[in-house]
Amino acid sequence: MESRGRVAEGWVGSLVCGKRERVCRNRAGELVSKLLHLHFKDDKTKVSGDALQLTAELLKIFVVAAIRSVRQAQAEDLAQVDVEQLEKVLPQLLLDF
Amino acid sequence: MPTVLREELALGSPGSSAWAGREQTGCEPPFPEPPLGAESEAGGSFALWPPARPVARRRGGKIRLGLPGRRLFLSSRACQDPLAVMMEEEKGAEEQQRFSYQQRLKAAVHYTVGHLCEEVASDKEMQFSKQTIAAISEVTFQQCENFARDLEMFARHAKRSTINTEDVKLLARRSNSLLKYITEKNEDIAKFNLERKAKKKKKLEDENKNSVEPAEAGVVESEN
Repeated sequence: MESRGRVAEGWVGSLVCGKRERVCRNRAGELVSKLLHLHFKDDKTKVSGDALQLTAELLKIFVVAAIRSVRQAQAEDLAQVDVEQLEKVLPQLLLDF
Repeated sequence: MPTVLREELALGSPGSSAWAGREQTGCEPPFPEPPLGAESEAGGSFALWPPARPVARRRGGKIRLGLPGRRLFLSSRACQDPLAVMMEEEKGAEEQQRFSYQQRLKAAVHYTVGHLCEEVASDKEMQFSKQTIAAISEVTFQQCENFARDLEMFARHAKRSTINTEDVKLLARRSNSLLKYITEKNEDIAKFNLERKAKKKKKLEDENKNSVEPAEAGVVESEN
């Protein structure tokens, strides 16, 4: 739990907190880096630091876009947002990315 | 979702029941089910394995986080070719390791998505159901795989082995506003890095000056 929390915090810390972003920049891409390297076919592939940050930013935009569009698809003021709203917005979201 | 796996995730991940929502999506496990046979605990020597007996099959088998390579599957061909079986089980163990690593990463993504959801939810006082968070994190994970493959292909196409910011910008080409935002972010990051480097350089120069002056004073004293 400890290590996972730390790894996750690295991504969260860099993206969620505007000011702390500069401080925790070194932990910024830890989770993103692991995610990318998991799916590389060639072991020699590396990611530059700037590209890592940009990718983290891209992923954050993806998640935030998903969350916002799901919330907007919530026409009535229900207490909870359900998967049905996500089903409505998912096609457009995937087309945009 | 295998019961054991859910329990294992419950050890660490918050709202692990959120993964229950995944059952509806019908995702396949990343590796094929072992065909038949018993599941034996901590591998002993080949001769000590119990004979194959029918056991209730669970998708993906039992997985222990943190104990990779302990799963051994006995197939019905066990008695025929020990070497082939050992290689099979090595591959099986590798698959297990990769699978549990993947699960840990998914849990980390889930945690982060949950954080971002809470942030947005606190603004508008709207709650996100656990299934929604799980679904979003699953989609993010899959999308990340696409990103990784594309980035690798772009870099290889440019005859490079290191992924560049240009590759990432190419990823964001689908929507104009997205591309603009990413390009701006790229410039911000580049500027910030330059500033940081300049600061570091200046700091080093200052430190050098400080270390040179007392040294000079020491030399003068010794000469005297």
